[in-house]
Amino acid sequence: MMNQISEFEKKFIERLDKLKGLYNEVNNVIILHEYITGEFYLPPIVNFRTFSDLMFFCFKKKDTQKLDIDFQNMEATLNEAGHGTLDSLLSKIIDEIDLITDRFEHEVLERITDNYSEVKLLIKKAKKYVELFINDKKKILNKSFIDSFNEFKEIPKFYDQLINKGHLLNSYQKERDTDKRFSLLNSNIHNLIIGAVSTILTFILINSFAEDILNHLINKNPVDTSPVELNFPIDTNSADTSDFVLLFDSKKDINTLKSRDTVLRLR
Amino acid sequence: MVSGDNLVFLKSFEKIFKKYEIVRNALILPGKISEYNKVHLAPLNEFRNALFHIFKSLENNKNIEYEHNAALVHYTRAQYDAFEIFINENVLYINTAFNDYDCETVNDIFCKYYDEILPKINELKYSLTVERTQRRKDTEKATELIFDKFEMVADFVSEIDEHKKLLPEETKKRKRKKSVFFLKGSLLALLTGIAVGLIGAICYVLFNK
Repeated sequence: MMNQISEFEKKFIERLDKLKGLYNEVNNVIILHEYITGEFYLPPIVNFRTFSDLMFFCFKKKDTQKLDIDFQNMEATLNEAGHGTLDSLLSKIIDEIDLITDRFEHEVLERITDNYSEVKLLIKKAKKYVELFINDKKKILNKSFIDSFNEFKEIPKFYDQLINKGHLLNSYQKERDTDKRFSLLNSNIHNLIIGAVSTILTFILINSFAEDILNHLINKNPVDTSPVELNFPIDTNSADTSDFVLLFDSKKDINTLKSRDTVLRLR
Repeated sequence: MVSGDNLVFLKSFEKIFKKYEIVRNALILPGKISEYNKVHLAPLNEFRNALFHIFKSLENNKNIEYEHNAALVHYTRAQYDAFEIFINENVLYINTAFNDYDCETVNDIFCKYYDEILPKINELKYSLTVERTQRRKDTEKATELIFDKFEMVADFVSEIDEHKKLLPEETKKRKRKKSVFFLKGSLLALLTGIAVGLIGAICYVLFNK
């Protein structure tokens, strides 16, 4: 029976306990992958087997000096499982998200998630992550999986919302289109009314104030009182002056000729 | 983890470790025996479940033994699955192993195949379905039972592989024998014809004189 724990065993349990968090997150991403894609994704499961091999092999060796290296390898295996699954999940989701979101307006999508703008930025980042995973896998594997998973956690959530509330999106978009049409119609009617009213007002204004305006304009210009030289032949003695006066019959014209002298002189 | 809990953990972890070594061999063994060396999902999934229980035991000190026992059950199932997959795949292999060869030839060099192996394999197919239901009740017992069958199938596969190597040569020999026999017959017929012709000619000459 074991009564005492060796240094190796103590360290082994400690290190395994530290890996617990990483393992849980990897397991979560695998479950998420299965839930969202509906597929059983094999690579991380193979990684888990490798992890088990490493763990039991380390336990079998009972080599305290190599414990750190063994656990580093175990951590790297879990990290690889996590990153691989996250990459697969994101690459599958992003394409579908793009397909769906392209059909709807930003405001419509915001009705599903309040932070759509943030998610949009995250999707851009995730695209870079997926690209980097293909081109430079080592660079990704050196990163902490937990950090990457926490960074992109919102994307699967958003995708899930898109799928679950997808039927609402169409009606939201229709509502928005109808609203737009109505507002356009409203603004057209509004413009039409304004136009009509302004036309009527202008007409009334011109009619009622035209006389005054004209008067005002004319009064502003001083009347020329200098004697008029008449070039047409008028014989003031013989000619019938009543014809001549008729020229000034109109009140307006007489008003304009304020100077009495002029009239007299003409006479 | 409290040091007392460490002891409990290590005690049952040792058990799991021993089981794991057996199961790991069970996974590798089929690949060594047969050419059917593929990665199968079922045992790997059991490995995953076992690992889940091992990590869960680190979360709650009260459930260490319970979780480790659950991990043991998963490893046993992985072992069972590995054997079952091996048997199922090799039943198909055994049934079709000599499809390209003449029955008589196979029977001449490996009569056990028709007399013993094929009937036993057919029996095995039925018993496997019964054992699969048993697996849920007692995984350990079911694994023991299936291991016997695994050994039997493994023996059959190695015997078949050995005899399969002899078959191309044997088929060639038979073909050669057949062609020699055909040639001999043709020659004999030719000679008989010539002889009959000669006798006929001689008779004709003699009787016409």
